[in-house]
Amino acid sequence: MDTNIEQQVDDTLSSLDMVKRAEISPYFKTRMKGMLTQMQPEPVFLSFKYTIAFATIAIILTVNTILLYQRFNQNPKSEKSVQSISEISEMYHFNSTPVLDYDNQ
Amino acid sequence: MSDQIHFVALLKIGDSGAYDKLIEDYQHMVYNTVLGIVNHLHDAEDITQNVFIQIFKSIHDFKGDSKLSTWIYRIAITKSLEWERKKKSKRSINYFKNLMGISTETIEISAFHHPGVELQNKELSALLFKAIKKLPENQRLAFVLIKVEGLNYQEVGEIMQKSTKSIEGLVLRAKAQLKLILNDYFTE
Repeated sequence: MDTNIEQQVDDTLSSLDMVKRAEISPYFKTRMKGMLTQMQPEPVFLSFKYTIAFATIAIILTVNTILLYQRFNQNPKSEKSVQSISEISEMYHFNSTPVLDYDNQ
Repeated sequence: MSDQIHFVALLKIGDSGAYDKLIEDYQHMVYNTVLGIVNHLHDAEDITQNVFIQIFKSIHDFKGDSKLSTWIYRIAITKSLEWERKKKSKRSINYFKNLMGISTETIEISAFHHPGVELQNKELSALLFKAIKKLPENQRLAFVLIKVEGLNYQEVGEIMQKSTKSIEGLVLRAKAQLKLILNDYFTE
């Protein structure tokens, strides 16, 4: 190898001997912090809001179920009301008399 | 080590103060490592950003078997190599597009000047970085971590999960290979 070339090769190889650590932009930290904050899981107060919303839905559904159950259990009462209607109709002679029979009277 | 356990525990619960300290302590280390591999100032900053996002996402997977810095170095290297692969495939697509006349985008590989190099060594170091790019991946990583990041053989061994001896071997081979590349360059 030519001495001159050898010297150039050695100089090139040692050109990184005194290299200092490269430093990133001073704004990097602020930018990165903003980015990581956006990635944080939802704050507690927000999830509390959702808890309230779900609890309200659950209460509404429970009340509805109870009301439906009560209505279902009221069926015997409705039979009574049917009975009372037929009593009233009898009282006021609303009995369904066939029209032909009436004509024959 | 107990300080590290406490610090990692704070990171795992998402303590913002701990993340501030993490960025403060490791931002230049990550940036310098990435820059040594990718040789591009702007892209190195983007990759550094991705490294911290990855740390944030996978801190729960950190078992504490190694030093936190070793784990961060590994993420930085992985992200840099991923970026290089993407860039390489993009370059070959552009090359074919140019051949077929679909795109006129130029493929430009400019000389890299490391900001930490003294002015009188700028040109030579640019030449050295160009030669480093031609080394096999393992040799290149070992050489960059030692020369650019200033780590010792043992630290590089921990990062690359190899013995100190094999790192020494990798660096010796890298130097021999670089001598050949540079010799060819100067004799042309």
